[in-house]
Amino acid sequence: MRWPASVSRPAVTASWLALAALAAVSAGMAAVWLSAGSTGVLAGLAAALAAGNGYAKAYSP
Amino acid sequence: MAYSVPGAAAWALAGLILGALPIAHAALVTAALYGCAYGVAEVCGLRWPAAPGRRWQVPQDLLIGASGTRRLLVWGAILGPGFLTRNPYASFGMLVLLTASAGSLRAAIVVGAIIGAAHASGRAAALLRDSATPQLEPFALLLRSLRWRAFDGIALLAVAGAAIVTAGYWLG
Repeated sequence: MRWPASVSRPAVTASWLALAALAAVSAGMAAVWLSAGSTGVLAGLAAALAAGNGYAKAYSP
Repeated sequence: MAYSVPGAAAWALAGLILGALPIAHAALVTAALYGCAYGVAEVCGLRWPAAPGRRWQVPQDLLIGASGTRRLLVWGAILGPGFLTRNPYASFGMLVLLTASAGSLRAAIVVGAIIGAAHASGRAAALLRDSATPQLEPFALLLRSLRWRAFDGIALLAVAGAAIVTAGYWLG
């Protein structure tokens, strides 16, 4: 990927992370809104979060 | 099994305790705030606030000279639930808040058991992966940990968004 010399790589990464963060909040909000407030969405997210946390913990130095 | 059973049992017990307390609404609002604060911190790579939790790690004395079965049981009982050992990711605290916000005693026990089984299965999967591949260099391990931290922050923000809308339904 190439970008203008006036734009540094960290700035591009920060922009992508900000976009990803915004998308994540929106996705969580949309999931509950589309399910009409079902708490099952939170339970599903909790299970996914738990599995990811357990897997990622192996990388803790 | 050595990881999943103790993980599910310990988290179901946590669900029993948390579900018996009248804190579901407060826990949901706290989950929304916690997810936003720690999510932003992890995505931005900030050192503060550090993920809450213990700093303890399994001492070698527990494992030196132990048989394979005992070693597996010790690892499974301690690492499966994950309450006792160091965890550098803030999502672990979110799991406690989500268990507390399940809404009823039965739901809290079920959600707790699912969380425990999922956490332990993830931990066991990572262990199997580690045993099949060569150990990473310390610097590579640190870099990989930082990437996971950013990913953890994004996941926390998604949960925070879901918690905000759920709180709106409950309190609105």
